[in-house]
Amino acid sequence: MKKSVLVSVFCLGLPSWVLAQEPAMPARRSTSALDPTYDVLLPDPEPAADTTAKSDGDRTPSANTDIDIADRVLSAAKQVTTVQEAPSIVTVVRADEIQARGYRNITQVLENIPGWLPSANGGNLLPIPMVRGTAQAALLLRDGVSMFEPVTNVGTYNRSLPLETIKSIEVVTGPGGVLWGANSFLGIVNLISKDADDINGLEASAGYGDGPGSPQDFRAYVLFGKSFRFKRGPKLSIVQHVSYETYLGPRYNVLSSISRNAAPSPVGPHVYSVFTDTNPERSYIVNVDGKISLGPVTLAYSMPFALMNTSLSFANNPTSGRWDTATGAPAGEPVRNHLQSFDRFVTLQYKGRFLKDRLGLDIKAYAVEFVRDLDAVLLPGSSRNPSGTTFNTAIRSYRTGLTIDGDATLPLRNRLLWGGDLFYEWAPELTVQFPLSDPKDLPISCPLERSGMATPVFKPGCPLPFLFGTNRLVTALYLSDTFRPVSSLTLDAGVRLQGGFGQAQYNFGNLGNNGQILGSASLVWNFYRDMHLKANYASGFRPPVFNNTDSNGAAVQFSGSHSLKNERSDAFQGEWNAKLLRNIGPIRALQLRADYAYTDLRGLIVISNGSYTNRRTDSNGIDTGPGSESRRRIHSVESAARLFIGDHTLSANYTFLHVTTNDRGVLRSMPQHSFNLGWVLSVIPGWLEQNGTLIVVGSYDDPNRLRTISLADGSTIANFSDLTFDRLPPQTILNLGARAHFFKNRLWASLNFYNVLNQRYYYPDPFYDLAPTLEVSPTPAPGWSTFFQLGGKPF
Amino acid sequence: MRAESLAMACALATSLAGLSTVRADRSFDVVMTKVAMDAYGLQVVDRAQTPQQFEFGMTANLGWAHKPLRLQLNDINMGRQEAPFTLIEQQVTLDLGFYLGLWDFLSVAAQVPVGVNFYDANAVGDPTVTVLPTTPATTGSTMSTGIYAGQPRQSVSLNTVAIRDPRFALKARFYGGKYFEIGTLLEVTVPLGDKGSFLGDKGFTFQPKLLLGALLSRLHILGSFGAVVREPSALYEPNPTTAQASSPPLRLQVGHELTWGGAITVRLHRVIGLGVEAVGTIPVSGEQVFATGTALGSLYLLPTDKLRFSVSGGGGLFADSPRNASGRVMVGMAYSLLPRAGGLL
Repeated sequence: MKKSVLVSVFCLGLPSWVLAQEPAMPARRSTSALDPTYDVLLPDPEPAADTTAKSDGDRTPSANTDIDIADRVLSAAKQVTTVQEAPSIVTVVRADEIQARGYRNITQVLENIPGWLPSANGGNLLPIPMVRGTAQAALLLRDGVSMFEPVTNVGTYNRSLPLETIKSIEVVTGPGGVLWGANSFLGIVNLISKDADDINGLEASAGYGDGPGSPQDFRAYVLFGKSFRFKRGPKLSIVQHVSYETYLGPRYNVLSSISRNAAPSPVGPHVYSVFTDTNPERSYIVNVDGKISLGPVTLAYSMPFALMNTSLSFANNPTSGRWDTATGAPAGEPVRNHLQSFDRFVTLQYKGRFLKDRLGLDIKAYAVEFVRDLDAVLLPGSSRNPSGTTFNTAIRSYRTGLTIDGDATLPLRNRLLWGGDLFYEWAPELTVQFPLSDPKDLPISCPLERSGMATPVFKPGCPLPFLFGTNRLVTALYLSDTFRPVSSLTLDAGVRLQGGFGQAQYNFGNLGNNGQILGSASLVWNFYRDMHLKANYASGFRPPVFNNTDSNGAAVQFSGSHSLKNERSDAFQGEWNAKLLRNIGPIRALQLRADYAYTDLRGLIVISNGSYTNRRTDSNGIDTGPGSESRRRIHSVESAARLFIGDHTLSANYTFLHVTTNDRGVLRSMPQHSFNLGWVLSVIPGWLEQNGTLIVVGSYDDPNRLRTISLADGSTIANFSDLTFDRLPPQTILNLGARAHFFKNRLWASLNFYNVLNQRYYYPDPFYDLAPTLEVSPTPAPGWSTFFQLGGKPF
Repeated sequence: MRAESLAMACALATSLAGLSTVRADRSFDVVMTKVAMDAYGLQVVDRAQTPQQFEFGMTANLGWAHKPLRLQLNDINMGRQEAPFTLIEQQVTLDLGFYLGLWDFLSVAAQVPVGVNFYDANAVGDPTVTVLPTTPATTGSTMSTGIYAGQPRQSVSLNTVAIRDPRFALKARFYGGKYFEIGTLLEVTVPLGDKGSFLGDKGFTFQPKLLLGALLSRLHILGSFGAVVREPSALYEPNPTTAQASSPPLRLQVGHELTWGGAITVRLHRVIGLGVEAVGTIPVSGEQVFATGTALGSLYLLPTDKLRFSVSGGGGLFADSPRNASGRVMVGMAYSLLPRAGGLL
């Protein structure tokens, strides 16, 4: 490896002072992933190591290969590097860790990463992970293709993502706008799928679980992957995956609403009935996805279809269903209540390297359909409104486009990343309907069947535009250069120009009206042995989604505005990381990381005086000046430790978060402290592992309405001015599990318990809506559940 | 009739709530049997022996306590007469610990303790109770009861499960001979525990201990003496009578304390040991303060040198002490990857 470095340097004709330094380079440097000869766009050449196969006596340096591989970042930085050396704050979670820790969905993975917290909105209609206390701020990628949903910015952070197909999850904490463009506002989650060689055979599994947190949950999958090499021609690789899951939404007992003012401005009193059990309709998810590679070309696709009902709806209303006036209780019929959230896509990718590996090219063409069908409860059935009120709209949007990424090895130890995007995204006009309601009873203006009648005859279901059809064409170019003046120092700087055109064009950009220019710069200094210091500036932006620009204010939403600006993020980040205690006694390695970040979010889109705006306005709708731009300043400390000792792995993360807003002061609805412990203990090496996760979220406040008035029928009223800050105590979620392997891992079984202590856990309120808020209680998270799984790889 | 009396009681409480300006301060941990910080300690008594250099180990302890918090409080259903209440009927605790030997004489340890409380609903009350209108034409109100009375209104009730204050310790062995050992444990707790549910202190606490041990072949006699330095917390009567309204009675105060511990263990066989352990506290500041003491009989099972299981049972020594659980059972596991010769007992 070292020889190849020297040859490479010689070929590039570097100055003699650089050559003179090479022999003095420590041997460990030659393994750097920043080595310019490293193949940055081809798949990881090294197979994933099986950590369970190691024994106590195997303590050679090569025994730590799995640790080093686990640190490798393949694509979040658009170059092969390591977590320690990447010019941003990166966390990598590999497939073996997902399996060993018993993660069942992407949210469980993210909640164990420093700086990330789970949350939900609209009851539990949409799970939205938060990064640095900010919701909808992370860009979800599937093999580097953006899955940003352009209407509502609801990512598929749910069960629809099959984790068994994922080779690794690379998570960037902080903005990543230069490399990834719009919507990599404060984080990036890149799901890298397994290749045929990672699977190399047929794998199948089936499992069942129960418990109030995930009742009656059955899931099975089959995963096939194989590469075929022919005497002539390129290698053919096939990956095919099919999974099926059926489950019920979590069980809760919550207050149900009787009546409230119509959205979007619920300023009137909110009348509550009694605590009621949820009863959602059964859900299912079918995933059919795969990829076929022929030489440098890969065709990947995902075609899920699903019905994903949840238990709680807007204002945390239960899915209690129709009210039986005879019994004075819910009739017991399961209720349809969902905001579907899954993506169907096809991508065609070409990867190649030219000019003796000095030039790399990665071209992706893609088409994505975003399914966000909404069919939700507004008011559950009650004595005053037995059938309840529901509404539905099929939110569909589409994106098709082309992404080009390239890398070039340049003289003087420079490495240039370059590329661009061209895509078109659109949403047709969407209609909302109220199937259970008589239009004349609805507090909105429903369309007439025929005009000119003496008595108005409304169209059944009160169909109204939910969103007017709209579109956006986006073009972008970026350049990012990595320069290593000396072997221990890496400098990185980049710039991106991105423009948005069409009906929902970018406005008031900093490059003309439609253009946005972003920059980044970083320094990584390997100052002592395996210790690095990083200093980094990163920026990002988030254009207004179609629901902000083209929603119909005369139905159930706030009016869209075409004059909204892009939201912008800037972060100044510093990191210290180290690998210590390598192969000392039973300790294989101790990895430590501590980051500090100051993040400034500007022009955040908020609701002020009944409409979307980037700025706060006074009660007369007058802009209150430059200082009124909606803004958040975030101080955060994110730290992680991971100890590899014997066959055991222990990890600990801690996050400190302090968020201030320019209109509401300190964001009290976020925990300032959160930490978690994770472990995988080898009880019987190679046979039985025990895993656990302890998540501790510090106390925080949740603004809610307070019920202050009672009526004779037992109902209670919360007025919009009756507010309280519910002081939420620290919360502790303990997950425990065990996993057994048989027949050299050909057969395995796992049993996991989630939220073992049945902690009554509440999600932090990411929007911190002080008034007028609808909820009288925080949004509850699921209770305990268990899941048993049996799987095998027969061949 | 019952509902009517409740409504009247609630209405009376509402009128008095305005008079009550103090809070039922709940910022103290009722767990009085903190488990040992490493695998060389017993169930609740730490030993001066330290792990060897780079020795790594883990401990896990599950505990159950009967009536760990009993207080004299005013009963609003009995005309606010003072009556005994068991605020926490039962408690389950889980302590997960890790330790690492830095040198042969010095180690660090951390523990993450969790508590699960089963409250007496009558004593704890409810943050929001509906007070029905007396006639159909009027509207009623909502109010809070029990220990929520007199506090800022909220919708969320006490936590049943929560983390207690995480513990971090530095352990040093000054002398370790064949017959005698002496060391110290310097422990700090971080106030991340639930202060609202009797599971965490108000601030950081510092808990130094002197650890002594006499080693007589199969018989070990251990002792520890120390202190808890903390910001005091005071629980005042949440439902004072009209006469008490201006100065509600102090029901419990927890401040600086001295701590003691002692144990005798006998190793009956290579894999079995027996022991008696006792720990307690002696208050040194505050007014309504109480000493605590708990005695446990323990059985230790050592299937291998690296592993120790223990089962302990016992109870409080002072029946009148509010924080002295009447019964306690603990099950523990200690594991060391590289234990000292002789194993973990």
